[in-house]
Amino acid sequence: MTTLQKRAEQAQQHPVLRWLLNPESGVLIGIVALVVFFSLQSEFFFDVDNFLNIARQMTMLMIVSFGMTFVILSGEIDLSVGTVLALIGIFVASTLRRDLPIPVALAVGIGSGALIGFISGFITVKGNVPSFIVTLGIFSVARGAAIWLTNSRAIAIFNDNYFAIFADAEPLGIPVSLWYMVAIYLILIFILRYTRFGTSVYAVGGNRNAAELSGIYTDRVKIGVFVLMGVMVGVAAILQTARLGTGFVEPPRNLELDAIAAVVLGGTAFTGGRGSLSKTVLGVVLIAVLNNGLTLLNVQSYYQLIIKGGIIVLALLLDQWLNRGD
Amino acid sequence: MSDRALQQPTGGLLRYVNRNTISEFGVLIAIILLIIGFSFASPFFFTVSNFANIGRQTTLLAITSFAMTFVILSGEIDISIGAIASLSGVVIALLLREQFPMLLAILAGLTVGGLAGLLNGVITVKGKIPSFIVTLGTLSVIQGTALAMTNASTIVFSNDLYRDLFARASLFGIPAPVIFAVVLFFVLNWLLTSTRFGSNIYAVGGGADTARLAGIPVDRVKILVFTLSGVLTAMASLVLTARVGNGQPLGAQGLELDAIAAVVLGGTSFLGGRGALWRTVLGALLIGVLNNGLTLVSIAYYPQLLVKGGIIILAVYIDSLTRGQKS
Repeated sequence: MTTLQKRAEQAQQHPVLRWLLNPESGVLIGIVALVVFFSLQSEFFFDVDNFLNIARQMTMLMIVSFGMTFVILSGEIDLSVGTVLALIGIFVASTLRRDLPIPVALAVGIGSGALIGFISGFITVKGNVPSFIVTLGIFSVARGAAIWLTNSRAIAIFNDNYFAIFADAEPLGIPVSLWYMVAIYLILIFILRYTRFGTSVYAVGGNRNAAELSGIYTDRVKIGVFVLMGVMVGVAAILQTARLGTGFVEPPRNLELDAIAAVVLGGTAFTGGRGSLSKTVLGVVLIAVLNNGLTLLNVQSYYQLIIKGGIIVLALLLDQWLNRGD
Repeated sequence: MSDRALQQPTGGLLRYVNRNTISEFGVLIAIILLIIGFSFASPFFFTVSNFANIGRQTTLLAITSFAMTFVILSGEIDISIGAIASLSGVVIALLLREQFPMLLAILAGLTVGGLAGLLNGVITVKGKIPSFIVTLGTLSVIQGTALAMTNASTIVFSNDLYRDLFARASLFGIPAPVIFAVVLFFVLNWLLTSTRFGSNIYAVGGGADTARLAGIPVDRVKILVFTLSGVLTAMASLVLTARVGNGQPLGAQGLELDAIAAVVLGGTSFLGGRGALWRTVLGALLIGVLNNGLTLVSIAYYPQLLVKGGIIILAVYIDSLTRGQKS
């Protein structure tokens, strides 16, 4: 391990190698390499339609990963996003089924997300319980509730306006979900960089005790982070139900795994306090390209599981190795 | 905290006086209340054959919870336990289907479990990465491997001796898997309370830095714990595959949730260093009785999932409250 460390230190001295070893450029190189690889392997990959497809597919993951970035920056984790997203989708679909106006459905989606996030945050903070256990419990509760409420049947939506506004419209030829994604990114960037809440998130994740001593209400910040995560899951659920046309019972496969992978691959430290939203964007693009390319190449979903799990573990090890000197 | 860690394994009768009686016997009281309630709610509940059934159903959970107890006591967590049980179950089923000798199949299953645990341990310890993220990643790899090996299909085998030994046989009316679990309990309890390795686990879980200063090889203890956990999980898959007569690549999915619930409900602290194996037996029994009773009074599986998730959250919350009062 010490020889590795020495090698890492030597590498830091060469400007080119230093740039290459920078996690952010590492992800960029990874994306380019994947694009080249898949373009050579599949004739359908390098195509404007497919790129738009990738963009559409990654909207949900991107928005959830934004929320996850906040959670991880604050030194916590949320393993419940997949089943919670499915549950909120059911709430939204049921609201629309009752012919209630769209704004009510939006309020239900975002409100229930915020409430579930608040519960996770509150138990984590006030109970002083590790968030991964709390959210593992929430995961199970949300899954049970979703299937219980629907009897395992998907709830179809018949509301063309809803589909138009949240899925089908293409202002300036770009799918509307991408516009939402960009808008949310800008809002969150603003919150993270220019508000007290944003800087507190970094402070709390970097060193909770120091943050507490410097007058930050760490409990409030952490609960706020979980509420924000819940709101993001709510927004993602709204877009996803519009895309699929139903409130779906089956949670999106491995959403929490993909989101954590995207955040950590991007280079945000899983120990909290270090990272950014733009890193997460790169991480999500990498995973989306990987998912799309592997599917185009007809790679079975279980090999995709192996590859993704392996990449996460390797990225974690690399991150630890590169930052040990700090 | 460290006082308690030292007392817990050796404390004898003192440990009953030491802690608040309700939190000590809460689980036992809950089990008795559940038994009384279900006996009134269903005529099929309070029967010898149903108790044998509960025993059979709880074995699988009990053994995986033993594995989880070791991991949690050492201050870590293993979310990949369900995937490990699935993978070793599939390996055993594949070998038995191809008519390999039973002993070889069992050995191969245990080895696969041990190797998966070793992998978790080495990455966690040497990479200095929180174990829940590591095992989330390896969960995906292990689960994918089990699916790829079987092409996502169920592997059916026929080996009567194997199925009798780990599932169907009984001695004086006690099902074989229950005997298996009881023997395992005594061996593991001895390991935890009467060996150096056992007391090292408590010390490491109570505080890794202090343990290191006291000269305990923290890394080695943790890696050993993860490996042991993998082997024990594979032992649980023996019971599972023998019961159903096949190996399913997703057969043990979600088992980790039940195991964590059993350990934490029993009263072992999820922060490590404080708890005992007999507590886990009570926790597993509580969940076993709950599962059995809820099914008998015809509550479907998914509301059960909801109830269980709620119980875990409640249990960790109560645990944290009692912790708060003590310190």
